[in-house]
Amino acid sequence: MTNPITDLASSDCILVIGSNFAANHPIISRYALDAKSAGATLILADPRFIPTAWHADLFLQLLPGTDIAMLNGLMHVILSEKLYNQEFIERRTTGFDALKKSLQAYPPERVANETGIPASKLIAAARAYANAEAASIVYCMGITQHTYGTDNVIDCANLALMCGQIGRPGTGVNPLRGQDNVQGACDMGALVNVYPGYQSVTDETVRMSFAQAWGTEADQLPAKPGKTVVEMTHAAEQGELKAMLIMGENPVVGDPNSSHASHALEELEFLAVMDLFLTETASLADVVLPVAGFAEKRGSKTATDRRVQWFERAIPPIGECKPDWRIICELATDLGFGDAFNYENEEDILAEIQSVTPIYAGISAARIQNILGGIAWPCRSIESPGTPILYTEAFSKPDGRAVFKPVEHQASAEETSPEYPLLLTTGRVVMHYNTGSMTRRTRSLLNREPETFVQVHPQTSESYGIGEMDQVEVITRRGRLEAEARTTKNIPPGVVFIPFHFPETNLLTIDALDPVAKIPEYKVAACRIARVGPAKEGA
Amino acid sequence: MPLVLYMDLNRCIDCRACEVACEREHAGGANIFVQRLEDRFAFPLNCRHCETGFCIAVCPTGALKRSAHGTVELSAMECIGCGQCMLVCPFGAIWFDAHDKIARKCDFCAHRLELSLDPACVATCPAKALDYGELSDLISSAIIKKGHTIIHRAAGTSGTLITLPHSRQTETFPAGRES
Repeated sequence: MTNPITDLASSDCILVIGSNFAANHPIISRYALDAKSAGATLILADPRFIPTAWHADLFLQLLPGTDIAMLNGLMHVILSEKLYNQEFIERRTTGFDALKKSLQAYPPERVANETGIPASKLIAAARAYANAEAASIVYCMGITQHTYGTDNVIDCANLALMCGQIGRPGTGVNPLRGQDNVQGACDMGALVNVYPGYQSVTDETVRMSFAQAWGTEADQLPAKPGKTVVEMTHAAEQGELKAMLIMGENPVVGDPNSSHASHALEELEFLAVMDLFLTETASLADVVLPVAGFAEKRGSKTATDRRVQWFERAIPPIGECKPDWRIICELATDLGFGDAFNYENEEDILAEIQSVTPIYAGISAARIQNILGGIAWPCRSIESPGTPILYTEAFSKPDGRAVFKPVEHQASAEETSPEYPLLLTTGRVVMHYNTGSMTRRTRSLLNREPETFVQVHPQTSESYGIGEMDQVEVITRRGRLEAEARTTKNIPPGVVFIPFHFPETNLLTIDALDPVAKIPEYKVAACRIARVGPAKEGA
Repeated sequence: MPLVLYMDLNRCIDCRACEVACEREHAGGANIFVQRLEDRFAFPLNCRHCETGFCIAVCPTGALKRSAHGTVELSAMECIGCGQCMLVCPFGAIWFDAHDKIARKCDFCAHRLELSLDPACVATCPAKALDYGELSDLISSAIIKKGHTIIHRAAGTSGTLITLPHSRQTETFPAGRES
């Protein structure tokens, strides 16, 4: 996020795209609702009328995969009504002319046809966002999990830049990260192309400085990007990858086209899994290393708004489980790298992070152990208060100016056809978390949402002779599942929604990737549906 | 002054965290249930701790009574599971515990109040839709949210103060669009 979570409360207009924060980031609701009580306009763009939409002043119901058409449509309105921020554009950006040109093709009428959003609503949303004193964009996986996910994100930035809605309180481009420390994992270089602090692996000087810090030679460190999660399973399937160590990840349930993922893992010569539970993935492993749960660990975590906070453990680890870092250090020691992994405690690790990660240089354990609410990076010195709001003065470009990058609406990897006439989209429910490795083991949550379901519009169920709660099968080119049908007018006709927390769903999804971020297109696939039997007894 | 529970139904997001917190606090049996209305609203349903407690009036053993906080409390030891209270509760907020064969209802987390802790549902609600306190304080803070309808004393329900939600759009995906 460019702005702190709490900042949302001071926004005059919040444009939410592809996020059901009422279900998936409930705490975001608190600040969005505070803004709303203070008079802010809440706009939600989503294919489904979800609980987040209950609170929206304007609901833009778009068909899955039409986000760029919508964003470009909003910008077209802002351009033609001259609602953009000329002063901001001139002072802080470049490339506006190219953007202007690309927007010509997105008049509201065409966008209405493409997205399903009435032109009047699109115009109202554009005016509300552009005219607000401070307007914020909040987005989540509804826009990232596409083969053009990167372009979707770029277009959000285009919109914010065009209206100068960035770099001030209550504004910004705010992606909601899913896990308590996933931002920290990215910051630490748990990505294929960067060292900690987003320093490129292909940069010779960066490599030299890490070699020096770690007491080795630059040629011992990788000089080119590695493989992303889905690329790894593809490589394993082709026999190119021989062994894997999987930490806190459950690809057998979570990977797209998951029957391939399980097959790929079975092909490996060796698989070790570190997890809290014997997940579907851990069941395939040669060795399972039990790790401590969140309440059994201490150290720093970085939240979605770049806030680095210190946590103490509530209880000591139970049984033979250990904090992840201890397991990693012990493995490294056994492999002969003991000297480089010689940490006494979590404070030692943060000290090394400070020394090799400029954006964390001022975030010491001693500081964040005493600052409730932590420090937001970049924090480049021990005196720095951190940077809760990014880009207040300059953008991270050599000339400090942001660059508009026009993007075009494009088709999803798989389109509907006579054989697969319906559009499958996946998402979440409030009771479950990711692949359910924890929540499907928590009785109070599982009792409330015991199994998966298939959500369709009554028009769709009627045309296939499906009654409420009937058992149905959903089939894509990759797989098949059976589940209970639930009809609702909250979803567009022709669209099928299935939550992905249960093992079957990703048998259906497509493993087509965004060319840049390599995120799979979980949000769009072509499917067909048929009734297989009556509602289960007792249902 | 008696304690009352406050619910701002403009803020309920149907996350059901209050249910889960209540369940954890009460050994696996929740006394608050989030109800979804027409896929447009949600509201937590629990004992409203009514000013005129029909349940208290009909309880043959005196298991239901007014507590020092002004809430309605149920003594599990005195309850014989006759179910009379369930029949008269205007909100259907009392449930039957088939295992222990007694009535169960919200106890306002009396055991937490003794430790100066908030009721579990209030402490947990991520959207801050729930609060509690003395009636006069809650009314003055709720009234500040102008334009909201505040319900109390309806059916003698001084025990719960509710801010009703604004009307919400009922529009769904434009009918007739090609699917």
